[in-house]
Amino acid sequence: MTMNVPPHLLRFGQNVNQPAVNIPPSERWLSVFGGSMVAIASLARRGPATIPALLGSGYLLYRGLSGHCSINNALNINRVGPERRTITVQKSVTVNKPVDEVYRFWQEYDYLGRCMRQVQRSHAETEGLGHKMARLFDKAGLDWNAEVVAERENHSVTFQSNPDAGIAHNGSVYFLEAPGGRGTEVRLFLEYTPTGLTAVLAKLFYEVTAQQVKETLRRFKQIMETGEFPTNDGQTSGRESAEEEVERTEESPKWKTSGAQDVVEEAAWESFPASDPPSFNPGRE
Amino acid sequence: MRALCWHGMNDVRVDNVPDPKILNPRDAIIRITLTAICGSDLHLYNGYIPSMQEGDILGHEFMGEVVEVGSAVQNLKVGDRVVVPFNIACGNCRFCQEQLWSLCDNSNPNAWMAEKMYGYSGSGLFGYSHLYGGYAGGQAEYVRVPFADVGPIKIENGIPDEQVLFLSDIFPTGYMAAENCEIEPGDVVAIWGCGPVGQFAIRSALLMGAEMVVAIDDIPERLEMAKVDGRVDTLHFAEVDVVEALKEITSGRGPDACIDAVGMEAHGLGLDYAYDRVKHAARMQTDRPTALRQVIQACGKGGIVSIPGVYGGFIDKVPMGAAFAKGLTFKMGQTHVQRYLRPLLERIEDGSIDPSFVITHHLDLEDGPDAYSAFNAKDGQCVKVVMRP
Repeated sequence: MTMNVPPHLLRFGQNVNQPAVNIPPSERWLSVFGGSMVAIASLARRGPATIPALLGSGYLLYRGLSGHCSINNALNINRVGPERRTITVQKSVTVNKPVDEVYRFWQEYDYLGRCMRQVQRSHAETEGLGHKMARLFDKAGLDWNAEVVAERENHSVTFQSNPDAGIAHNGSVYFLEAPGGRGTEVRLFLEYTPTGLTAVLAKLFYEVTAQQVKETLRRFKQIMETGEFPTNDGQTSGRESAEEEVERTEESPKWKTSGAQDVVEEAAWESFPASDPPSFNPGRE
Repeated sequence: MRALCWHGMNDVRVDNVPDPKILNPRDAIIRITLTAICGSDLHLYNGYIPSMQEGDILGHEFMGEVVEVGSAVQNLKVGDRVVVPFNIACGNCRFCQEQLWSLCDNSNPNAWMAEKMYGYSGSGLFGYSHLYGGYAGGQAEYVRVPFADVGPIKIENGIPDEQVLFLSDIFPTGYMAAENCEIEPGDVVAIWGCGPVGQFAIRSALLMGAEMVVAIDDIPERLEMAKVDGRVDTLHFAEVDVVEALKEITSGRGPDACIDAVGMEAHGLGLDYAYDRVKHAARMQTDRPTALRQVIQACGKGGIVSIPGVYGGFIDKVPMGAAFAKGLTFKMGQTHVQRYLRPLLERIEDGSIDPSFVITHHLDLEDGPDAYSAFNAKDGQCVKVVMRP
């Protein structure tokens, strides 16, 4: 279980497309058996075919013992099935604040639960392929709903999904002092075992989740460092005319009229992620 | 309110748009009294910066009067007269605290987009595409300024707008370009591009004690504007071989530092320029580095190449061998405007420089579309346009 391993020992860059094991046990035994037979046969009757036969048997033995077949991998065949694999999403961010402050804030605000739900919901409301996928996963009831099961003050928080969570998962967040007074490294590890839809769309689900975790951590850094979530949601543009705006809100700023005005006292949790990622537009011909 | 909006390549219009609103506690709303078109706005106008959306409000050089502040803004009050830096910085992250304001970690809400393109995201900018945060710009009657407790500088005496407006971008940009040259007594600095940033770089290099500044362009009135001092020499790049001329001017030593105040839409001569034009027009390359190549070729051994000109993507056929062989140092990036506001305001107040020299056109915001087209074509000796909303 990776969660007990100190984070700096964890491997980086996990590729969900290349599981170490991609052939089932029965086939592994066949490979070991076949490889041994060929090796024995070719060593018993030496001839011009001995060396190629030995190479072939070596590959079969490697395949059987390791459970990994490069040919299957190249052909994108995985007979183990994704449901047998545990996926770890690992993301981190450096926050320019001391460890104790960062830890306290994270705990007080139930940051992770709040943000993961919020990020997923916001993503679900907007356009773009990633967001369409997020919406699909959301509609399928795949929500992140966890509770803290262990905590070590100013060091780590371990969480586990609730029984009613759409996705069974667990994970840890570590709060580590960054070198040279650079603040606190917040390192998050989230483990889930793909089943059903998340297994069928394993790569997409991983990517959507990884991006959500990343944005969650970014928002955490922003609110911790600046006290607000930088946003453009609700700002003016030429996409809406002044007349439409007046009709819609029936109010104008107090510096233009004497009308009452909402005072923004604190950053709205609803305001993140800040804006819908727009499509790239290299210019109209 | 009225605002100048981007509607596509070479298509900007003044539209009626909703008034800006306070969205966060550290926001302020500014009523704009003077705004300018920057050379880098032309990259948007010509469609070379990705992630623009129809209806985006342009403009990142502006100043005005505070009309509303968010609940967390303590240092500004309604009625204050301020100049606003073009880059948005939170003041809290490690980069801001190290005075690297344009690298702010937190001010770009679309950081994921810049990370895909550049690996990491710099600060948000006003009116400069969604890649840089999608913030509405200041070529408008009003603008929302995020982190208003950090960026804007108060102008408390009666200095005219025209003299302080350029603290928002081009004066600090030219100044930082010269500062990056680490000028020492006897240094010769060559500056490509005599547009507004080049003009400020020339004057800044002189203020920093350069022995000589060589200004390079092909527009006669811009070269004329550059001749501010006996220490300035000018080269018309179509009339002389720039690399040879610089070698002669410096008796074979070459310039100690070179400034590329041109950027991604360079003009030039010869086969490499034709090649760039074709590739750029066909959108097969994002940037046209004709000037940068010459800068690298011309720079003396052990010299510094300082790049205030904007580059957005990938460039072709960079003479890396020349840069390596001569042991050049490259310094570049968006200007850390906030670092220069106070010292440069003092320079203006004590009369060492009057930045309004660069203004050639005073217009109304309503004239914006014509101003863009004239500035883009360098028509009518257009160097710098300022507009009143």
